[in-house]
Amino acid sequence: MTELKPKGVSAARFVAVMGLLFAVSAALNWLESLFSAFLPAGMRVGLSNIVIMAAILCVNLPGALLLTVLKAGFVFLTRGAVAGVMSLCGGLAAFAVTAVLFRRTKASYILISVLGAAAHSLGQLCAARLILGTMSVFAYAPVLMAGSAAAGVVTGIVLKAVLPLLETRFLEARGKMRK
Amino acid sequence: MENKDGGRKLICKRDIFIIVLLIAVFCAVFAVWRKTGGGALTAVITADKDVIDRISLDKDGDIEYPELPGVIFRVENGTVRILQNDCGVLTCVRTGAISRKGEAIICMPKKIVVEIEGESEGPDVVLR
Repeated sequence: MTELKPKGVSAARFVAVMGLLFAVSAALNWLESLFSAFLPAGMRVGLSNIVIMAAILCVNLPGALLLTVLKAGFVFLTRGAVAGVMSLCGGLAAFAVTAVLFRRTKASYILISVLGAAAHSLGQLCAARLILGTMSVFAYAPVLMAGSAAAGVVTGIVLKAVLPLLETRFLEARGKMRK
Repeated sequence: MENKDGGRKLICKRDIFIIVLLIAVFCAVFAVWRKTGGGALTAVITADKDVIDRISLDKDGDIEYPELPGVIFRVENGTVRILQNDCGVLTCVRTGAISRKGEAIICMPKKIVVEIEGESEGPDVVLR
């Protein structure tokens, strides 16, 4: 097993930061279920994805991946098995896309979060396709893609806004928390 | 602000272009995929991959199935929608009415799918 914790960060700080980020993502997940009832069918803003993206930038990739899986576990416990599997598939797809874009390109925050949101939707649709066994699930794709674009703009702006605060308040100097 | 991510912008012109392009390509692909089928349309109701019923969209009315307790389907003016569902998520109810080939209503908790089939799918009558 490779070590999960980035080098140069104490274990206590790592555990505290990860616990904090997971708590925030779970809270945002719950919060957005309150107002996603006002959005078109099946759409969510994906506020908790902000946490995953922040973890990719401020912690490290294994940490962000762990948060993705934990988030799916939270959804599994609160909203059932089907929702949990959907969250896991969407989360892993979004994680892969955002991780590659953040590490390999200079793409803007908004573009990355839009593409991440789109990947999340497509991952979920593929999961639904497997669970339900019909291509008809992709009928939801256009509305989800348009929603992803809108949601991605929101989460991208929030991410850019909270990132400096996250770094200075919780993660010491940035260089230490990154690998 | 000094960080390794410093060169990254919030948004730039090129990225706006990419996003708009992606949406356009996606809509185009979907428009081609979803051809409007004329004539008599049928709604196929599936639960957990089993076909429960095929209902014609010509006859208006509310429909319930013993296999699907708590769910009420409504056919109205050539459209079908899930009127009521006790699944608690209600994505299906908020999807609203569908009436065109290629559209679908989905309830993930109960694994219910309502699809619209056109005339072209399968033979209407087999003459012997």
